[in-house]
Parts: sequence; C-alpha cells; structure tokens
Amino acid sequence: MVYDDVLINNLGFIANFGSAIFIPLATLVLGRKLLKDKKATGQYNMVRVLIFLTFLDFSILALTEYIIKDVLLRPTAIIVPYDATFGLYNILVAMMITIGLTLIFYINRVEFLYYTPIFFFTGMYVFYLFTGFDSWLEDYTTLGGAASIIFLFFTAIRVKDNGALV
Amino acid sequence: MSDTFVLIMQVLYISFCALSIFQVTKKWREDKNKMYLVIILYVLTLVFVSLIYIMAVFTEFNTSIVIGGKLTVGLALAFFTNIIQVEFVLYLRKYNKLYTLPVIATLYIAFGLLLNGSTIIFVLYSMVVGFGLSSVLIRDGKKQRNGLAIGMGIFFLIYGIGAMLRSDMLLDIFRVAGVLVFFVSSTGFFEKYVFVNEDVEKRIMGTWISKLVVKEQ
Repeated sequence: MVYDDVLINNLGFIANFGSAIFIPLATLVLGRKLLKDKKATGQYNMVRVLIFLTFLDFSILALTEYIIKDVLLRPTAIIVPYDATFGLYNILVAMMITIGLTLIFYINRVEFLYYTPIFFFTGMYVFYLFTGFDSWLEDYTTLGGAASIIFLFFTAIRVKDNGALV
Repeated sequence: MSDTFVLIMQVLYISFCALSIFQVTKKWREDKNKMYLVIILYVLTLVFVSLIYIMAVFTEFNTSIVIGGKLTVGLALAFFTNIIQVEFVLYLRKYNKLYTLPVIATLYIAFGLLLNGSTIIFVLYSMVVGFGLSSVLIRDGKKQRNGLAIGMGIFFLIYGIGAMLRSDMLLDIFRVAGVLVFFVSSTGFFEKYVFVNEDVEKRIMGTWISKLVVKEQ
C-alpha cells in the first residue's frame, strides 16, 4: 500500500518534471527551425508557426504545472484560480486545441475556416467575462481535442507526414 | 401602428426591392460580374424578411413572439439580415478568411439574449454593422466610382439609423427611404449626375484654353 502511494506520487512528479524539461527543449528546437526557415525563404511558414505556438503553449503549461503542483506545495491562493473552469490550466489547454484545429484547416487549405476556432474560443472567453457562463468550455475542450487529434492523424496520413503531425 | 400602414410600407419596400433586382439583373446580363448575383441574393433576403412581416399582418404569427429570454422572432430576423449584410461586404472585399466571424458573433449575441435580459449588446452590434459597413461601402464606391456600392452604403446607413430609433413606424419609413436610394443608384444615377466625368471635363477645359489662345493671337 505504502509502496503504491510512493510509486504513484513519484510517477506524477517524474512526469511533470520530465515535461517541464523536455517540452521547452522541443519548443526551442522548433523555434530554431522556424527562424532558419524564415532566413532561407524570407517569410514565416504558417504551418511551422502554428506548430511552434502549440509547443510554446504546451511548454508554459508543463512549466506552470510543475512549478505550481510540485514545487510550491499547492498553495490554495494559487491553486483555486489555476484550476477554475476558466483558470490558467484550462485556458492553456483550450488554446492548444484551438491552435490544433487552426493547423488542420491550414494544412487542408479550408480558407474560410482558418480563423474559426480562434473566433469561437475568443468569443467564448468574452462571453464568459460578460455573463459568467462557462459550460461550453468543457465540451469544446473534449470535442475539439478529440477532433483535432483524429483529423491531425488523418491529415498526416493524407500528406504522408510521419514527423510532427503523427 | 395600424396594419394598413405596415402593409403599405412593406409593399412599397418589396416593390422597390423588385425594381432594384430588375436593374441589377440587367447589369449582370451585360458583364456577367458575380458581384451582381451577390447583390441580388442580398436583396432577395430582404424581400424574404419583408414577406414574413406581411405574413404577421394577416395571420396570428407575430414577430414579437419570444423564443427565449429576450430573443424574439423579430430579433432573430434582424440577426439573419445582419449576417447576410456582413457576409455581403466580406465577399465584396474578398475577405474569405473572415466568413465565419459574423456567424460566430451572432451566435454569442443571440445566446446572450437568451441568458441575459439586456439587448444593449445587440444594439451595439447592429450599430457597428450598420454604420461600419455603410462607411466602408461609401468610401469604396467613391474611390472606384461605383454608384451601386454608394447606394448600398446609403441604404445600410438609413436602415441603421431607422433601427436605432427603436420605433417600428420610423423603421418602416427609413427602410423604404433606404431602398428608394438603392433603387435610384441601381439605375446609374450616381454615374450620370454625381461623379464628374473626367473626359468631358478635360474636353471643356481644352476648348476653353484654345479659345483663349485664339483670342490672344
């Protein structure tokens, strides 16, 4: 029983610690690639920019998760707004999904839908600020997350990309 | 407000819409420009909304029927017209990537009316749509010397002012006045009488200068 608790606690710590180190590193590598590409072609590649933004978002998420949950010993003053429905954690996850959906539309060149996820999510946040209504965020995160994973997978197969997409 | 007045105004409105469609169709036949088809589609939407208002006069159906909260059938129709209006300008300016923006904005504002008892956001949105789009159209029309665009801009402006007054009678009068301006612009009035024809002006100027030169000799 004691061994189980220790194992579970340590696994959580290792996962957060590992994410806080490796994901920012991956972001740096992607950022370097993005700048190299910009130097070579003279302009930013939107697909690369979107992938970089996803990882940047993920890095902030991994770092805050590690710092708040494993280093700061979960102080209530920070944990409550951090874990709230429209708290930092959920906003960062939703932003990642939004960028993921935008990426799918960019890769498949569905021009009229390029900014739709951004409009939808921004609208949801503004709506929350005005009315306090936040029930759509969970559905958006679940459905949008599932859709972005499935469609990214299919898009990766369609464009024969075995790298970042898969 | 009497039903007869509403009926007369709606019939006038539809008649001017039909005449405008006729004029725009003639223009479309000449140069097959897709923009004219979009204008026709927009005016047909206005006719459709107007027919619903006429239907309300003769039947039990009422545009102030509440869908939920503060959202009524009349407001839902106004939302529909606003969407078509914004989409129309986005198409004219070729902003393909923004096509879903008016739909999403309308979705949240309509949902806000269901949850919240205030129509202030809807009024603000309609003001931005009405006055923003009219200024864009009038400016573009002036730049490109396109009378039809200016007519549409003035129509949006008059319609917007009418909607802001929050009086059904005034709104009807303003709508008819707006569509009258649009009809006049579709006949080529602005091109003939408002825009200065540079070629003719140059010719007159040339004659005037040559006359002076002859006199001096």
